[in-house]
Amino acid sequence: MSLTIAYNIARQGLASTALATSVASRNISNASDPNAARKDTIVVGNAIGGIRFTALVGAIDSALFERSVQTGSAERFLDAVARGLERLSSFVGDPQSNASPAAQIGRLRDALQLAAASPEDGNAARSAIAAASEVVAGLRSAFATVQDVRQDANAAIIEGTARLGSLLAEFGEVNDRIVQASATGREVTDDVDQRNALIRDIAALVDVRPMLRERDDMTLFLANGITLFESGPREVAVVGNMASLPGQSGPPIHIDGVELSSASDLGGSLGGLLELRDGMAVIVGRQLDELARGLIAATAEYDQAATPVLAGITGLFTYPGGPSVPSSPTLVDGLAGSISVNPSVDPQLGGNPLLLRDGGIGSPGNPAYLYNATGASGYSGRLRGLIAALAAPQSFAPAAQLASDVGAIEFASSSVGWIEGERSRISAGLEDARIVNDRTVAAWQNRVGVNVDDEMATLISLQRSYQASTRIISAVDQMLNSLFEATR
Amino acid sequence: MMTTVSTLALRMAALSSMAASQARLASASEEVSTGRHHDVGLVLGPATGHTVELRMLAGELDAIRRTNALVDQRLATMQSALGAVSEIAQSFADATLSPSADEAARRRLVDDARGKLSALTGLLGATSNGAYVFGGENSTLHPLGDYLASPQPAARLAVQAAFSAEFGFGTNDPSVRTISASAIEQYLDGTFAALFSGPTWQASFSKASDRPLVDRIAPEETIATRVSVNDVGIRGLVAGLTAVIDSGTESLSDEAFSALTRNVFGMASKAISEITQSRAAVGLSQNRVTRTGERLEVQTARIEHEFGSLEGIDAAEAITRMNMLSTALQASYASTARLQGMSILDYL
Repeated sequence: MSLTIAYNIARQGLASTALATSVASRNISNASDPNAARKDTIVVGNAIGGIRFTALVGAIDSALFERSVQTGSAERFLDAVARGLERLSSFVGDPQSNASPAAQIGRLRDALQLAAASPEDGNAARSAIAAASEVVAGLRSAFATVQDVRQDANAAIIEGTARLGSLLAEFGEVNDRIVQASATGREVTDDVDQRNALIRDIAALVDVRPMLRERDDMTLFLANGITLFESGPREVAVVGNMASLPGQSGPPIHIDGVELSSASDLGGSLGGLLELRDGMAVIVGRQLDELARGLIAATAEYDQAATPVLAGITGLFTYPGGPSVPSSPTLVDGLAGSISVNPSVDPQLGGNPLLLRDGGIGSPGNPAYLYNATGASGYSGRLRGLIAALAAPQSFAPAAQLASDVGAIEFASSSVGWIEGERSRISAGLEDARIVNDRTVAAWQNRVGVNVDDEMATLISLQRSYQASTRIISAVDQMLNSLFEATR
Repeated sequence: MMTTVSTLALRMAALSSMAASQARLASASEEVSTGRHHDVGLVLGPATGHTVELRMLAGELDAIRRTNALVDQRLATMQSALGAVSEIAQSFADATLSPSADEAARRRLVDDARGKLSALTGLLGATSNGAYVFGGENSTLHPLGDYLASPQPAARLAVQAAFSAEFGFGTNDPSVRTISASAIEQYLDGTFAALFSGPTWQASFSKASDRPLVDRIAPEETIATRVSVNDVGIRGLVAGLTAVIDSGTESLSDEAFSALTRNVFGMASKAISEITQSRAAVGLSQNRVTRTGERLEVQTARIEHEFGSLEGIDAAEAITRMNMLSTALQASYASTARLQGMSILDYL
């Protein structure tokens, strides 16, 4: 009977409206979740002419999602590098503060100038030695900063790798649920949102590329093709411990059995930390080590005989491998951490500061290395020679990535230029990456996100539709009543 | 197809742009008050190395300026001492130009010579900044011993020994009267003169080094003033004074006495012109130091200007920027407030 059909249609309408209302309220409660997509109901007509709810779908824009995952990864990479560089450049400081190793060497030169004007003055000599001690302290402190940055980066890599492992495991659980539910036709929109959220978290760590397969199964790869997840999570591990020797690369990251040595292939914050730990921080360390070697070479003492036979020995600046002078331009890892003022000239260690004027610091009492042959108190030749040596061109190892054939002072200031140049470049890159990421994520959110005003308007129309269905039911009921009245 | 806007995206966009504007405004206002970039290294990048180098150079020039002041002081001390030495030489020359040969006059001459030698020794012991200026590299030793000290110093013993060796008797022996004029001349030009040259002078009289003090007066410039007690003029003056003091002057015959004073007058006259040369040498150095100082001042000003402009900001531009940012921030506050306020819930 048609009335019954109308009644049933209205009943189905009520059910559908109730469901749609619940979906709208779910959307509204998800409005603040950055990973939640908007859900829509799909209704189709059925055999009797009414409507039937068939599916709940979440709004999707895969292209924008994947793009925003990549931009997020790129931003985190640069962010990790930028933070590390900020710390690395702390020993350089603002040029006005004159705190950089370069500025300290400049002050040593000035102290030598004052000593050269009064070579007989023990106080001037002591001041010069004090300036040399400050140079040593500055280099050692900078070296310690570099090691700290590397150690902290390594700790963060270990932590990040562990987190990646647990995220992949979680991803596996959610992915399984989705695949199973797809097979049985259960609604999976919330799980899909959760899976997307996990992809974003994973992308913060590495440059992940998600790929959707049949049955809603997702696989995760790195940009260079290494598998992160395929049916199950792949093994992610840091292999080995941080080497105790400075200048050596730290323990590598292995994903699915493959060693990842290229930080840019890895991407994300793990890639940034790797770039910092084994790239930039190592280069800065090398620059400091080469600077230390340059100072040792500049202040080394040579046989003063007419035909020299003895080898050069370390002078004002020395190191545990002294008195032999490190060969040039061979990098010595960790030299910046072990350079010291020669005790024979350091008054705090019972040394004689006037040896700075006379020479023979490396071998006191040995006439071969005595620059002040006459023993005159006003002899300024060696002091002036030291001043010149600090600026005299030397060869520096190419691994330090700075010019060779420059003086130690110029090398020091070009190291400052290198560090600040990198910091500036990365910072500009980071700002751009941040803007691009913000825009891309916002674009995705605008496409798939919830608009509260829109949902409220939908609720209003659902409310009306519900009212209309209930009217139909009561109208049919009245019509049936009048029929039954008529047949009493 | 409707363009959708996510409520969350709308809110986040407003917030993030406000935060960015606030940060830029904060750094702009800091720049206005310090006159320098908020983060010099970030803005300059690789050029930071250049500005650090400039600052080091400015520091070096400042250190050189300070040491040049010391050099200047030393040279001034030398010049003033040499001026007084010159006066002594002049006065001595006047005294030895045909002096009368009577006993009283001779005694006055000898006493005058002794006084002058003491004064000379004092002048030549001038110090500057704690170091003797006439000692060359031997800056911590008084360059000329006190000839008239007791017990007699090596220098005096050497002179008296030379006299004895030449004539066979000492300066106080009555036989001094027998010395002829030519004999005394021979002695003065020969054995006596030998005492004031080369190794004997440095062994007995002078502690000065022939190696001069060398000063770095500019980054690529050194100066060495070769003026010391070993200068010919000073040696000649000391020789002349010593000749009068220790040649038995009071006991010589009149002819020998005349020969002595004639010879000594010659020494003194020569000394005057040679001391003038020493003074000229010091003067030359003084000029060089002054000229170099002027050049370094110009250089320093230029360097300070250069790193100042590298690290500094244009104040007018910074203030303008600050005003613009603050206006933009206020606009963004207003629009954020309105956006947040717009909700359909108010109308239901």
